[in-house]
Amino acid sequence: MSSGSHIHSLEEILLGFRGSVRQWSEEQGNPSLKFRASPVKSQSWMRGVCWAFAALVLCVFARHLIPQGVSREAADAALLQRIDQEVSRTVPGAMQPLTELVSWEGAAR
Amino acid sequence: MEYAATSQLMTGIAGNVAVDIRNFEAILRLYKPKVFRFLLASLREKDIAETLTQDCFFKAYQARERFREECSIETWLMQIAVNLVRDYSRNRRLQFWRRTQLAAKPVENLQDWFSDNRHSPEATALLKEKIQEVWSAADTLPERQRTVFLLRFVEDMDLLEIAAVTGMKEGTVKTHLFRALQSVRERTGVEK
Repeated sequence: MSSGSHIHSLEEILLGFRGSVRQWSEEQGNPSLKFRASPVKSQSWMRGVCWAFAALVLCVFARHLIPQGVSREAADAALLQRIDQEVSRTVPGAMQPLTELVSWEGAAR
Repeated sequence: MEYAATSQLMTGIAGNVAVDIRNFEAILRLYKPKVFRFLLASLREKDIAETLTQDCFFKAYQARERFREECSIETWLMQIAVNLVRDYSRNRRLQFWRRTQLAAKPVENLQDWFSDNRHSPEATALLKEKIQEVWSAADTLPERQRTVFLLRFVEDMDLLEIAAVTGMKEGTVKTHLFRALQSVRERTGVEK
């Protein structure tokens, strides 16, 4: 293409550039934007309430959990103590009368 | 000088529109096309431009009570838009996907959107070619230069407005604009 007779100034080119970009943008359509109806302040207020509620739930849960743990430990200890008592005989039940006949101190000599 | 005069005229027209920050629907209606256009020209991706337009107005909506009228609503919104472009461009995690998308999609043929009845068909064809070269040159500019270039030559803002929007000093804006124009001149082969 011979450009000799059609020399455009930079200003003219930039004006054409502006018009083209604007035309292109318009043809791309108008983006539809969606916003939340609730104002910003109420959102932060709601967030605070949510955190407070979560903390409360955690406290209640912890309060109920800890006593349960303690009572379970106590029950386990009582059971172990009972087992210990039952199995801590030095001589089986059937041989118990023999222990009364034998003097352990005399046998040791 | 001619550009500055045009810019002042544009600002004056916009300045006559009294918009209250509490009337967010009016703000949206008035400035959404401008914000979208800047984001679209900067990023060249319709979906991303739409998403960032939404982000821009959502941020403005959230911060509307902190707006102290130290600048115009338009400048304030454009500040948010410029920051969004900067954050998006600097987000390295997205760069890979951006490059992939750009590789997949052909560069927008801007010359197709140019219409002119003043010139001969031959002159119009040449002008379209030059416009496309400017568009290609703008794509290769560093982010700040591109932002300044688009604010100046698409949004028709003057240097002070650009300085307010970008947070740069006027001298820095001039430097970026000068370098951007130099690149465009080199690309188009047009000196004046």
